Amino acid sequence: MSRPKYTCNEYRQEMILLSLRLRLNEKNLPEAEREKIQKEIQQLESSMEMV
Amino acid sequence: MEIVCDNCNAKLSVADDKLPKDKAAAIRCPKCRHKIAIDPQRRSGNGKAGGTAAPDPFHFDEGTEDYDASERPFDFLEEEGNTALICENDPEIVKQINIVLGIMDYSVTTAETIRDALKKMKYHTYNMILVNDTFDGSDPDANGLLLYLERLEMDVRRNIFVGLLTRRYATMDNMSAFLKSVNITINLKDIASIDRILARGINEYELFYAAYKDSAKKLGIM
Repeated sequence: MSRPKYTCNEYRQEMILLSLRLRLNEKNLPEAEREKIQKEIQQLESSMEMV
Repeated sequence: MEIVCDNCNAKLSVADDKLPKDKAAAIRCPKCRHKIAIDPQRRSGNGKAGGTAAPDPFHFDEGTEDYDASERPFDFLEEEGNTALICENDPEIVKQINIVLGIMDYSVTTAETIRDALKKMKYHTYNMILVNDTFDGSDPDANGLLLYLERLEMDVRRNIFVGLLTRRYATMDNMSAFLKSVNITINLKDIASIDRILARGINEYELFYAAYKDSAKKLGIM
């Protein structure tokens, strides 16, 4: 059985997603930025076929 | 020189000047990947070299692709030698990098075009690739070679140190390097210091992967 291809692109997307989620968990995050980050996470998850 | 594979009897043609003189060498058969040892004494004889199996004079191997040694410049190197590919159109910069990599004990080839680079990479996994983001007239954001490197499987990619020669990013700009999927960015205005930049970049790259490579070796997956 062949393994799914795992490339630099996938690695980079994972790292961006991780950093966005970490940022989202920060206390005292302004609401406008929270919404922006949530939107970015949604877009990223969609491009990674996670949703 | 004609070489016959010990394993599958494929006939290969290799230019004599591509092989080190008076030294044992080995190439990998493009058909079956068997390693063929080439004895320098046999080479100087009748122009044929290869293993013990005699070629069948009536065997016509229609499936064997032509062996073009210019596409496989390091087939003769033993595995411990470090190799580098330079993808840069400015001959002055190539010259400077060549000198530095020579001192660092790399065997170096240069590519003229993206197509040429891809052909060279098809047959050899380089330890280092230095590529200008405008190489071969590329749009820096759509450089075919960088796109190819981005899409390489991590198993292969993590064994290659990729340096981006650029005028857009600062030297050792880690965030830009991350976004471009390269190990290091080198601004061309710093080219005179490329020896120190590369030494530091490679040192960081080796440290970064040291734990991973140690573990992979212990697990027998590399």
